[in-house]
Amino acid sequence: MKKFFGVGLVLMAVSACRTPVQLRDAHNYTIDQSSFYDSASAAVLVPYQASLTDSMSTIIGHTETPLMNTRKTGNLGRVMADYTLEYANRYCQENNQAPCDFAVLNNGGIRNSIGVGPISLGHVFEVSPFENKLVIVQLNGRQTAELLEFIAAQEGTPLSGAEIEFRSQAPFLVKAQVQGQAFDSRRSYRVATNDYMALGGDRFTMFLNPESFEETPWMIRDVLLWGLGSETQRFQHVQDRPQLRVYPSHESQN
Amino acid sequence: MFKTDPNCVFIPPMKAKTRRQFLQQGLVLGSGLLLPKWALAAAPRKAKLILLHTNDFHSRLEAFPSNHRTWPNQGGIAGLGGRIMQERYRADYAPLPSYHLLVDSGDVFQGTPYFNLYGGQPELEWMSQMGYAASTLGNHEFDNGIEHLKTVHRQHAHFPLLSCNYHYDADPFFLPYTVVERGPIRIGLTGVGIHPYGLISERSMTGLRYEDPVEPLQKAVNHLRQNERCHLVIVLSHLGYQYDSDKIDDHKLAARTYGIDAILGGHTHTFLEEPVRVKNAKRETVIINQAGWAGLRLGKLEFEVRL
Repeated sequence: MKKFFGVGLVLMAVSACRTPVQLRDAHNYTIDQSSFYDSASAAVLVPYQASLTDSMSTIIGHTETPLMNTRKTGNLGRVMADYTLEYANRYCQENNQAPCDFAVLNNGGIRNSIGVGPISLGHVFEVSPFENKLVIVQLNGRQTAELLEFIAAQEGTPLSGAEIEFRSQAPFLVKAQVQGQAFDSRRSYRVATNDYMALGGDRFTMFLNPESFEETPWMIRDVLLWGLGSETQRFQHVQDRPQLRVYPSHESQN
Repeated sequence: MFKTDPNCVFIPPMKAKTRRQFLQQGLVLGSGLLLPKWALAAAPRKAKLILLHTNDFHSRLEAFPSNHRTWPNQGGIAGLGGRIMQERYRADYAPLPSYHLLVDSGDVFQGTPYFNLYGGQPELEWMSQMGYAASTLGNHEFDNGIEHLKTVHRQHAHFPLLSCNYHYDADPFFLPYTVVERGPIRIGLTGVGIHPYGLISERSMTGLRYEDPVEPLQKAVNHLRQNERCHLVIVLSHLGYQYDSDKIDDHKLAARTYGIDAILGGHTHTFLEEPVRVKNAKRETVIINQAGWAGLRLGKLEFEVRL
């Protein structure tokens, strides 16, 4: 018995020599603050939280009309799409690229409305909480046609630089104009959008195999922030954009 | 026993270790009465290292709100800190002498208004308070530019950034590797960063030079093994878990190198049920793990180390 025990020990020692480090246990824990809570960690955040609330109340602009995030028709969508196109073109200019033809965003990306009066930084974060980047995608004619049809089928998404007339049954697209010119399916178009959509989010799958894809260093939220700020500086308040850019044709209204 | 250092401020854990070592030695002495002397000499000295790790924290200082669809109350430093403290408490009462090490695999920055407003300061303060031993450079660390990263890290982080394949000769603020001692265990730590072109804007990384990670990593690992006599070598990787293309990832890195015990990954926000075991260039086992993102997971690897 004692002999076997000795042999066992030698074997153990030999096997241990081969593998000096052994993984004995592993676990990827789910972190839920309702199961374990470290108040010393939470305390680190306290001074920042108060100051975050302060910073969020910083006034960055002013509006005299409510900026509504109403799906399909809200004017805040047009405001954001305009800024998206404006800053995308600024990026193109700085990087010696051809300008964008139009900008499109998703309805789901605009999470709140802004009421009449001063606009705070908190408003901007509520409208655009996502960490989405401004990207520039070049699509061929067929892909652009698919995109325009998809926008028409949804009866509107935030759009700038283009106008779409839609009807109530497929094909939904009746007429499209880009930069004041009739849409031409034989040429390619440069589209400003967010990286979420450009990667196929919200079923924008026509973006998935673009002719080119470029990520700008700017967040959509920053673009909104800059746009609201500079427009307030220029005109004392954010300009309203009451006119629909994706509108029903007379035929479908009857 | 242990060296008494008048500058040592960590009295309580040392005391705990002493008590454990005392008990252990008592056990060894006690068993010596029953076993022959040669068997006692052959018994290897062992210790346990509890390696805790995070990745892609993305400024998630507060947990996701309680009405969040996917992750209510999850993530955030209070919950993460709570779990880390729990694991340390357990390590203190483990049967083998146990030590812990906490590391991160990059992209601590960007994702909540905290980063937009404070530029990473609260994240680094919390990590320093928790005693993180090291982190590596994720692509989002450069979001406010390399100069900002250098400044905020020097001011608020009490742990090094590691990367052996990024080079910044002008004013290096990160190290290619480091050696950490936990009791008798010597742990070699190094880091690898992702191909930055097209991912980090050019103006945010002026002066940074990227090198394919395999060669510099092998060099660092060999140094840590041979010259630094490390018992364990751990790689903090921000390459990504696995790509179908030729692009280097944690799996390819493991297969093309040797001498690494574990690759702790990031970048792809991969949730793994448990760590993966793969083979290295010498057909030895390497552990790969990744812990989701936003502090939603804490990875734990418990190693038994023969000293």
